[in-house]
Amino acid sequence: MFRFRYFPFFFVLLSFLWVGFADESGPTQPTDMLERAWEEYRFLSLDQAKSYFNQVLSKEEGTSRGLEAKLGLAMIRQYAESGSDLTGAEAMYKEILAAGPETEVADLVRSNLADLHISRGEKDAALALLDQLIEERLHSVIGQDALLRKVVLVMGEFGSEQSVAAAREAEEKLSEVEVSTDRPLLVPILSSLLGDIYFRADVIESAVAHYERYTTIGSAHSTNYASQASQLYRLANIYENTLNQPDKAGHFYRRLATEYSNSQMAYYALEKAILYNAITRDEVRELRLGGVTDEILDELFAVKGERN
Amino acid sequence: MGKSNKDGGAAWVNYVGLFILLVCYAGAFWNVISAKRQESRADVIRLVHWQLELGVRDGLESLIEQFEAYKKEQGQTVEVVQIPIPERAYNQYVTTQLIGGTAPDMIQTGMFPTEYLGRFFHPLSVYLQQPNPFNQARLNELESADNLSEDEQKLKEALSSYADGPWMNAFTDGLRSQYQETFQEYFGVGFSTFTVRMYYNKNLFQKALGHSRPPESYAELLEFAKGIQRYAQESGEEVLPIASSKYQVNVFKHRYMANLTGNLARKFDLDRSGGADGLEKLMAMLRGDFTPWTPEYAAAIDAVQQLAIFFPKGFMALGREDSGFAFVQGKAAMITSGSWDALSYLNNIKNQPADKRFEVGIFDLPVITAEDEQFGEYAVGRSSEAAAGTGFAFGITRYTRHLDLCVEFLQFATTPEKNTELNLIAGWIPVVHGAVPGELMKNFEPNYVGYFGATSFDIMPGGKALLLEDQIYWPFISGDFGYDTYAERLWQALPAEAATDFKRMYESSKESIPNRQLRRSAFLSTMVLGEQSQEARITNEVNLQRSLEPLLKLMINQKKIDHMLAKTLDQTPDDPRVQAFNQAFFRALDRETSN
Amino acid sequence: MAKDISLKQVATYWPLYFFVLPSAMLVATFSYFPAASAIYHSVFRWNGNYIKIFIGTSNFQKSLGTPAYWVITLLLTMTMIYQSQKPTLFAKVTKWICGLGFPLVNLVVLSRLHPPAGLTPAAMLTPALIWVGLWLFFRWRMDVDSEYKGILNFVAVFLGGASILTALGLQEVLAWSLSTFVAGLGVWFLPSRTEKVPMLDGMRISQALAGVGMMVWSLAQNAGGEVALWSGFGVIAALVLANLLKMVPSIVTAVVIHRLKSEASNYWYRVLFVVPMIIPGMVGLLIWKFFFESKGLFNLILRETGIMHLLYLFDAWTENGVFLDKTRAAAMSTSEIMAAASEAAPAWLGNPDLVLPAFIVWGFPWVGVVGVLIYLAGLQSIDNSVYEAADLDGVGAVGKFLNIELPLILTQVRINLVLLIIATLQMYGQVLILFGDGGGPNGRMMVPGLLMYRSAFVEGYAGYACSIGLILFFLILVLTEINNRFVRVEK
Repeated sequence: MFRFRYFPFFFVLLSFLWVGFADESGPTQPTDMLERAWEEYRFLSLDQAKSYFNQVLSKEEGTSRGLEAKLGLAMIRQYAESGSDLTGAEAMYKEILAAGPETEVADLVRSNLADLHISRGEKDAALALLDQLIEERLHSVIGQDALLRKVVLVMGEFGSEQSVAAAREAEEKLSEVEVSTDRPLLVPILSSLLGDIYFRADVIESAVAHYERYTTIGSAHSTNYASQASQLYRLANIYENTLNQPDKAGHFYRRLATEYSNSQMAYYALEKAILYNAITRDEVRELRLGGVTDEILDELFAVKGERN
Repeated sequence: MGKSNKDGGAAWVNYVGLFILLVCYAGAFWNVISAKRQESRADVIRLVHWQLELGVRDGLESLIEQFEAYKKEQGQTVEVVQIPIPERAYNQYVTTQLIGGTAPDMIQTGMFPTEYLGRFFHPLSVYLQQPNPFNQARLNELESADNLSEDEQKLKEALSSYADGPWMNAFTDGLRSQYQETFQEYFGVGFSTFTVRMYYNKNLFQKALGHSRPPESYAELLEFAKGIQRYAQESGEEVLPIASSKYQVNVFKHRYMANLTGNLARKFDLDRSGGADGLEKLMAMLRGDFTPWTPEYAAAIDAVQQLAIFFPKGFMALGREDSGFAFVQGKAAMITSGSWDALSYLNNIKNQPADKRFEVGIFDLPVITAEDEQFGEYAVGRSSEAAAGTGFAFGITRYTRHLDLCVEFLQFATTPEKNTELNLIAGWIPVVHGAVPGELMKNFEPNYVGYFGATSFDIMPGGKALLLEDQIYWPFISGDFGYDTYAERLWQALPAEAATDFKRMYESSKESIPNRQLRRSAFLSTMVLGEQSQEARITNEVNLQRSLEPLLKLMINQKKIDHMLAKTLDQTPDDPRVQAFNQAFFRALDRETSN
Repeated sequence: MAKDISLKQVATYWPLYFFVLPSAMLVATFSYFPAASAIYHSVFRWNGNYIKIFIGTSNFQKSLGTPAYWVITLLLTMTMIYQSQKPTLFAKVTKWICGLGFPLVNLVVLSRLHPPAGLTPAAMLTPALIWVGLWLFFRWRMDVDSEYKGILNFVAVFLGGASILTALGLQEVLAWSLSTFVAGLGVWFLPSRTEKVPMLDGMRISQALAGVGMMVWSLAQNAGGEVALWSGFGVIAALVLANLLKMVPSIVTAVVIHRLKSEASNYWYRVLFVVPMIIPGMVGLLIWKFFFESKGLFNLILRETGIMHLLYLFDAWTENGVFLDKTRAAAMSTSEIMAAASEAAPAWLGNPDLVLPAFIVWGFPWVGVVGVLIYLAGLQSIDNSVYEAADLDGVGAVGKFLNIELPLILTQVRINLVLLIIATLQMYGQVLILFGDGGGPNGRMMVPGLLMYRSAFVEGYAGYACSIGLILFFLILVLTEINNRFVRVEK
């Protein structure tokens, strides 16, 4: 009887063990533990990332990789969506800074510390860190990221004089930066922010300048279709209705219609471009917009004739 | 129990349960073992979708067979398994699989929270910005070939315009609809698109109206419907002008809203982004520019209501299947529905007894044009179908062990020829440039001619204001009360609901910041610490930009809201109705925020 | 029954616990864990996923309004229930204080949230005069020793008083609760000197429950909570009341089957009742939906039986405007109304005024399979000798039912009652399938369960949904407790 009584229990246990060991499913992962940790971090599985970081830290404490792992752990403490531990993170950051104040890791630490101060409401401490980053690293993403955050921090409300002043200051800084369409870094995002600030403060000329900059340098690598297209629409609309410059408006409507010919705005933009003489009939035909027949084109170009 | 033990003879009965248990375990064992064996024999890709329609499954199956054969040629044994899950259980299934870490390789996107995309799916823009090798190879083949058939010539022309460019350019909408703005990423590759048209019963038209041509304008639609109603009364035959249900009412409403309120939306668009978002609509309400008495809105509602008298009684309580059933049985002259129903409608009509079969015509919903006597002055024009986008899309989960194979499968499936074939079997509209829609689907091809934008009283998706508008609309469109009552009731109850939505909007932009900060921190550190090859740096940079843009938007959102509110409150509205709205709104908001 | 075992026995038989383990684990995982999680998350702004911010009682404040009123009411109610059946002086005084507390809280709530409305026109006095008149009439007609005298007095004081107070311009709820209180004074104290008034206990309980109900209703309306939630509870209350009546056919069916002389036909009837259980609920739902359609069977039956005509006449007479347009109905002659009725085809599920009645008619003739089986089980345990004794006494068929069967299956009735109340309060699947998450025409069927579902899965406010769930849970708990205490089963 004894055997039978225990049999099911062992059977269940065994089968669980068997399945557990046999199951190797799971994502393909890089072999390097530190890389693995960052990948988990990017996928926001912080618990997994934490255990990998800890493994690296325990094996390679004191090396640069150890510092990086420590940075990762501190970031998890700081940015975890629930149960973040700012004090703990700050202490770890301080340790990293003490170990190597001139490394890339240290730059990141400063950047994160600025975030930490902002979330605690310590504006001055945050500004000091951001200013340092802007001074030293303006030509790289980390400095431009700092600049972006500084503008947001000091701008106050939209439409206020303070916001315009903040924008002007940032503009000055930004003019020192060489930008190419191949490597725009964060300049497009900054331009878009500055454009918004000016637009809401009714400084239309400056706003338009920044929006234009966004549309010229922003598109190289960005896939942000919605904001690109709507930025073109915005420019065209401002030129058309606020600044009364139909030529310019036509130019941007044309860009909208040709570059985003499969967007919902395309046909509207096309009509406007035709109206403002910005596009020829042959060019329209080349776009091959679904549903745009010769009759429709006849009509569109005829309407233009009437209005002229 | 004790008794039977002593009986001895019945003792074996006690082991029946154990036996069953053993059998079950053995079965489960076998299941696991065979799955493992299969995996060791071949690379298995599992893909999950909710398309249980026969055609779709067959289409996918044929695609899979071809892919497996192709891989075999290359010396790799690949097995692709499709797992259809019913629509009803799809969300739960995907959720448990993703969170449990046991998700299949590819999952049809949609029906689950978009948040999962960022957490559990591989970003695809890296691949989408590279050319699709299958297209390149096919183009080379076509270019080197001599005498091409007409179809091949066309295919070559289409391929030459995008085959060497990014893969995403192959899609009719550039795959824009799979773009997730919150993550600034693509997580899915789509196979089909869908549009909405009207179907009509040609035989019935001939009998009732003396011709079988479709209506060309809104006025004509009304006229034809009236004609059929008259015919039904005179002949005593039980036929309806338009089969309809709540679902179809929303289609009409949506269309005529876009048709008549598009300019209104552009008027409310304070930041000139090309459309009125919830906040801008709310500001328009507070200013008094947008009320239920705004003529454009009233006209759009009226346009649907004039059609509603031709709907069956109690249509709001009917389901989509009910109205479709009425149409295929020949009991209704017209119905509006999507391209996805075309195949099943035709099949159902074919299966009717001979005397009930009829010929089906398809036309686009008539647009209200400037010539329309009633609503012409507000007519904007037809609305563009560019937003139809690409649906039936698959994403690759992070749990896959065959990332490259999955990408290859998606690339294989989205060549013009394969896309044509899949959609021909499924009865859907292809989405790749150069793919040819089936004869039936030609009626449904998306028409890019048209305008954009519409406005109604919804402030946020799934919000309280939207719910309220829907709730009051129901009895109104059913004819329980007139427009005045509808407008009064809506305007009366709207402030409190708008305040809830407003507060939630405010809240949610704040709440999402930590998550975006986390993402940004991830990409910033990858950017700074990661590989420094040119290519890797550009990828990292783009990733960082993508994580930053939505975060920035959230961070300045609050400032934007405050600014807009202050600007709106500068002017006091004259209309007492608007004043009352403002008062009620701010009272409700006080209460919301004091909680 | 459970038996204590010694440690020594445990040492031998401990593996047996593994057989309990799976079910214990399943119950813990799928019942207790979600419940605990709901309690925990109800104090968070939680989107069911990654947003989780502690916000204290905000969720409850949004659904209930000012919490202090609810806490006070809750305490009063609990004291009242606890003290209700004790004869001591302390209990009496406590009850008295509680009774006074209800209208007092009401007064505070109302005066804070709604300024007094002022005197209404004298026409409002009419209902009050009618009630008082009726009361005087009954007093005049009544035999001094009538056992219903107490109830009539109670009803008259209650209704008449409330009407007069409303007419004087008091808020309706306040008027009703004050009136309940005054009527209660009479019920609780005056007759207690002479224990001759029958049904005194029942009257006291109904007075107390009426008071509590009034109070909850008042708070729901006036404490500033979520309007949709409380109108949903209104719908549920109507459905619960209807369902109480719908229990009767099941009981009758069970008794009829039980009394069948032939064992075989008894068996076959039982089988016939069980067979429909294999039909999926979804099919039943679709059949009923079809039935209620404009051209459906229900309208046909109503027209053919002439019930539709009565409904139309009533509608025209009361000027409700449910079937006929109010202004049009006023101008119509009776024959015109009858003509309209004979062609009438209202959409029962599409009309905000008809959808609730349709839900009440739903499932006619309301013979619930499970209910019948439970009653049958109860009936079968009645010993034959009881019937024989009744036969000797010459008790008739109805008498047997009232004096033997009904009292003896009261346990089952009570179980069914509890299950029914719970099921009704939790009901929302039917509405969701029929109408989607908008709650049907004009949102009329937005029941609390549906609101909970919507908040969590459509709006992404899962924490708020948890708080609604807890309110539901609490309400069920209170109702079950009341049921257990006051629906007495005396064998």
